[in-house]
Amino acid sequence: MVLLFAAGCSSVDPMGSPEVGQIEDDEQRLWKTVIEEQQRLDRSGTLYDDPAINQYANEVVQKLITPSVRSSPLTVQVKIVKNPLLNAFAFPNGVIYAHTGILARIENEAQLATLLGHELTHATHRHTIQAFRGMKRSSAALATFQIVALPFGVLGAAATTLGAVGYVASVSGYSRGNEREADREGLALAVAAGYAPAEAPKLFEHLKRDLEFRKIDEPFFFGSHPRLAERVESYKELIEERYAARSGELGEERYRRTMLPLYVETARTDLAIGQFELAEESLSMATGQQPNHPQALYLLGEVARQRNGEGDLQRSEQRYRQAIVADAHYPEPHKALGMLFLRRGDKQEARNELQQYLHLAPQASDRGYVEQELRNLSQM
Amino acid sequence: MKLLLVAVLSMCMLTACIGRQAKWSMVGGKELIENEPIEVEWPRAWMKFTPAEADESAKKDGLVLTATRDGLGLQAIILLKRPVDQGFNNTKKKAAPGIIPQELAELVLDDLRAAPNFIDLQVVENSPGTLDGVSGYKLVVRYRTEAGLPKQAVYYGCLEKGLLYTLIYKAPQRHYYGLDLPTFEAVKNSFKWKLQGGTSS
Repeated sequence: MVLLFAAGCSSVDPMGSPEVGQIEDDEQRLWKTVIEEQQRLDRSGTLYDDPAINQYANEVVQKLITPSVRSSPLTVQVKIVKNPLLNAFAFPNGVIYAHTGILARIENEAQLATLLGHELTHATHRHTIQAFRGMKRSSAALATFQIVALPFGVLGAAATTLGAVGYVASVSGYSRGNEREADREGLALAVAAGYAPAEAPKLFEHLKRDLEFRKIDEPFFFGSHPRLAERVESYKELIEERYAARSGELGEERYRRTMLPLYVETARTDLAIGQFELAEESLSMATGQQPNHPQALYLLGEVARQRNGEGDLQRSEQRYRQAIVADAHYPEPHKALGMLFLRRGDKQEARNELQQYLHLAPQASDRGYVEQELRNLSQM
Repeated sequence: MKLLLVAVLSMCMLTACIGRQAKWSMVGGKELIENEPIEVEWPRAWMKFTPAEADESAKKDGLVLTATRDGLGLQAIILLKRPVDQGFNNTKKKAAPGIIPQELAELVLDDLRAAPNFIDLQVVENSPGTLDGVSGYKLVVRYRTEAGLPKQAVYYGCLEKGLLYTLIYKAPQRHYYGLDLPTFEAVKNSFKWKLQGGTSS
């Protein structure tokens, strides 16, 4: 009985360990499925292709790889998915996908290393095949992997582009024991690479705060409040047990400087969704790095205009003007100012700004509306 | 006989309870859209799909009908209707009372930008448009589906009695979009508001 229990619990050795010889048949089949799922995901057009950010994330994950993993069949790589929800997941062959949403909320490189270390451990410790073998034995069997629909509207349906393996890795997560192992081993990798262990619980506390702010649980593993609470507790215990007196690198400035375009991109989506506070937070990160970033300043103006709270219209005008000072050839703030003046009844200023907009963007998609407004102004 | 009568009556009552069923039907020529104050002239040899009354997904999207000739993936003309104060599926923003067409178009665009199945959305045109004389917007957008297929779509939308009506044409960007765009424009130009009782507005 004890033998059976032990066999059930620790039947899979980590990648790179001497005990791992040939990959077994079912795991080979799983990898084949994984490659098909990845190809579908990569072709979907959802990958965020900023070369500097992709290179940076891959440099960080490379620092975490041990020599034994380097000689294993894993192809460790990070890919970024355009999606504002909090998500990251690893396929069993070592390819890690991180959403722009989670990267925009991470504060420094040490936190990124914690997240990537956690995901990398799922691959190195072969958690997916353990999950599949466990499910085959259970009555739920593979039916559990069928994705019918997710109870989440905004972008959560993106999970439907994932196949069965991606679903487990991304949405349902692994067993509590496997997740704890990913916390422990992932943090060990980050600490060995020289990162500050104290950042680990901060990352998940920060994500938890974000979820409370959004007032929803997202369909993904890192978008679930209880699971984030578990991570916080787990990392706090690990630090107390193993790394109480350990300091390390934060890499905050490097992280924020590299992520600047991603902050702006994520803010655009959050603004479209109507998450004004989240958009403003991302844009403040961008202007914190580059105070005269024209797009970030213009979008801060848009956040204020659309939120339309007390003093917001004045704030939006100020931001649009700052955006124009930052880039005199940037058309959008001119149109935004023109519309603002129009609403205020300042016809001459409105005319000037709208004409300047059409001058700077003669092929603008909304030229028809602007011309209509200019015609109305000339008839007044 | 009595038993048969009861059975027939029960069937009728059951059907009434279930409500309108989803159905595909051939279209061609003028049609007064069922339960809507709208008349359009359909092209010949197209098929129209009307969702079941109990179809929650169709209700959420405000789907009135969709029509196609070769299949919905190849070309689709869609008519949507939703109360403007009900909000949208993807964006949390709502239309303020007295919203102007340009602001309405921005809201519709934000809803598309926040949608998971409109990847790499590009706005080709955002201009004033009308549906049978009612001022609204015209949007032309390009995007990729979750499967990576480039598509193009035209949206004509306007507010009528507190309801946002949207007439859409969607097709793969290559070949099909240009092929059936004139057909769609003809349908759009045939769009007529009808007063209750069938008199033209």
